[in-house]
Amino acid sequence: MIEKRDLAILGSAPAFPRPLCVGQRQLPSWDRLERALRGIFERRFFANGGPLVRELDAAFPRAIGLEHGVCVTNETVGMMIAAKALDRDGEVLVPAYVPPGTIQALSWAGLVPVLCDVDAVRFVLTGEIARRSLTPRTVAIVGLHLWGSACDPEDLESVVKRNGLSLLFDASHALGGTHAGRPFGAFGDAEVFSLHQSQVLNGAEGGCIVTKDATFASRLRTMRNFYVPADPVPLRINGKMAEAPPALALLGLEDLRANLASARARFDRYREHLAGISGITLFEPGPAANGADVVVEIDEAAGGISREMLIVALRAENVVAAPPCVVAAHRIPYYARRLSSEAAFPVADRLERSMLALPNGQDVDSGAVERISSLIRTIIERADAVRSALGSAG
Amino acid sequence: MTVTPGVDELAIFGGQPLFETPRPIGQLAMPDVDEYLALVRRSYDAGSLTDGGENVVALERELETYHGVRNCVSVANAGLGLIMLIQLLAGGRRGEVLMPAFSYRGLPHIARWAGQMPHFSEADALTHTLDVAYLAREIDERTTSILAVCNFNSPGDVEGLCRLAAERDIPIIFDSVDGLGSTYRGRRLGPYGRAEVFSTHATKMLNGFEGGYITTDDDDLAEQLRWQRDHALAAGAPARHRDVLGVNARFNELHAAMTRLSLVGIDAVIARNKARYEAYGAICERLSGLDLLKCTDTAGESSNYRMVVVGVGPNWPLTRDETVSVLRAEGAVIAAYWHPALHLSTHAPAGMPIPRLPVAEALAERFLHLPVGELVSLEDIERIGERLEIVARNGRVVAERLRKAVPA
Repeated sequence: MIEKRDLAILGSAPAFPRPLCVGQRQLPSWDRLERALRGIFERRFFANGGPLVRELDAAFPRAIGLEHGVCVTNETVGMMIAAKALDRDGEVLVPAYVPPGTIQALSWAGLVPVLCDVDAVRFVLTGEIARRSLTPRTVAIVGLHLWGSACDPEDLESVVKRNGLSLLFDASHALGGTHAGRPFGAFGDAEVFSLHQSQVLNGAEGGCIVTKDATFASRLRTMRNFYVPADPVPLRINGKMAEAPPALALLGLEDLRANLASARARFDRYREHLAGISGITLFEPGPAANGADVVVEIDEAAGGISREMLIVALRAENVVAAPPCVVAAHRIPYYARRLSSEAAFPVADRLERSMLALPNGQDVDSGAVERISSLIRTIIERADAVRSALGSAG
Repeated sequence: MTVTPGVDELAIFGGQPLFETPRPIGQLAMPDVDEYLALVRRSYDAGSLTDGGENVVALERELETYHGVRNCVSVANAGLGLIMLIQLLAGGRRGEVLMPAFSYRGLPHIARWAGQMPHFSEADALTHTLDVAYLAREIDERTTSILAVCNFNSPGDVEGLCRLAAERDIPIIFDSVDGLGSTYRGRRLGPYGRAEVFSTHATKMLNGFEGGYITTDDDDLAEQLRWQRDHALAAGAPARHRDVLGVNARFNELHAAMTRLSLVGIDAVIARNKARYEAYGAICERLSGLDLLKCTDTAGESSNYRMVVVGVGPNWPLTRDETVSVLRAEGAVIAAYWHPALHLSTHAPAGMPIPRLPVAEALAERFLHLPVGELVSLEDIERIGERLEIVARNGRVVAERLRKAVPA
């Protein structure tokens, strides 16, 4: 059958000459980055609260219509600082399907994370789940706006209000989106964003804690360094962002509106082209989400192909799809040994096995989205041939 | 009061400050910007500025060569590197980290992030590092690790500390940030203890904006650290790693490129540091009562000469803090050196028993930094020396005027 050869795994040439990867990797033009980096050398101000990080502290929240931002080394360090700043001792409800750094940050802050399996449809920690999971030892809830989808913030806010708890959000997937007319960043005691290159705003590495509370913001600023004298805080850490990451991120903020629009356009185009492929369901974060993450659920029974086979078949095309950077936390070795053997998280387990992130960055143009979608369609249509090619190769 | 020649020149009494732009105590070495941009451009063209790119990988190999160690694990900053090591070496236990009381204020915070309490220990009067005999008496069943700090003037009794740690089966790590480029028994710091931690903060020896790295000859420890700094996920985790709590401590390409170039220039930086150190030394020779804290560079040892710290002796007319104020008014952004001792500071955990550590306490009252680093020229140092001579010549007048200015 000649048509077989239109897939690289079946012997054809790869669809793309260079690998297309998961992650936004938004880069400004080299000229602009060069100018910004030269500026640091001219000022000879490299770290310790330089002009660029001070500017980013202000510009980041302003870009999303909020007031207080505290830039830090990376999002995990940001969550460590935010959690410690709550100055509480006890258990924290956290979704069982979560970026590893978010749950690890709670442990570093001396809190005890309590995993809650996520909602089977929305994949987040809902207010209803939180209510069911509360114990007398619960002191806080940490939510995750998974791939831009709101983590039931109004209901969680009412749960924490009624029970005197604190509420933080991992907003790494949510920058630029809104929920019920409020920007992500405006919920709970604080929300922590990531400036890792895979996210919408690229600082290489970096994080920004956003809060409505000026006093809390000032405490976070004290906690992120060892040296600035101030009133006592629960603990300090070197969580400072130096001047190079904000040089990059400030350029990204200038482009944020355009970058969000193109991310959203890619998402919409994926939705159009992935429609009707059996065994492939696009995760829909809602119309006001940033659309930066394109994640599909693979149903092997329906499509005839496993996620791992799909990854290999796409890799042959230079399409580097990958499991998302969100994990079933009870599978992380440190937590696995601390949980009772009866603990079960079936939804998180299902998501860990079945979700696949597709290339979604700056280098994926609309033609590429169409081509990737059509490759997935073909791979599933030729599931038998792909399976046997992979079987014989293995 | 009679007008004393010179005294009115002091900025603290209204004279023109020596420096319009501040003279700091940080190294602030600056590689060539075009070379820096060329290295960053490579990562930029590869489309990735973190996640273990070309510059990070190359830097780790270059640092392994520089320190003569089997492994270098770069981290987002030195503090995170220490937190990771302490957590990892505690093996899931909650206990205490033995650490110097005469040191920098981050130390107790670092122990607590790693789930441990700080246990402050006495200083050696000569090297100002941990007193080994005192330390030996403090080790008990709560001790999960020893965190020794190598000072700029001396790495301390590295052999004695390592022998004690081995005898008592306690892991020992060195914070060698201030000893980068210095030697112990003729060998550059890096291979000692279970691991050593260095900084690439702009104010330290290697300017990498911000960052740090861990050196160790222990391949297994290095493997755990690499796994830990990128969230310690399940893939490839041997059972013995299961108490390792993951984190994001990845170093990025923008910082790694800078650090690589700083490493190329480190010998030249040390040579300039030595010239500054010697210029201050000559000034202290002329002044009675200000004593240069000398680097242990005898018997074939090398030092990085990064800091210039002077002790205020009984013959000096001002207190240490008054001297700091006089120089700050001149535009020298200096401070007391490691004051107060950590067990007496707000950085000690509230409510912990406060030990009596007379050597550390006395040291913490004695020293101050003088401006150093690449923003301080030899001419600047001469001018600082002239101001200090005004103080020395007119000691009583200066002291009286300073003390009168302070409201009762």
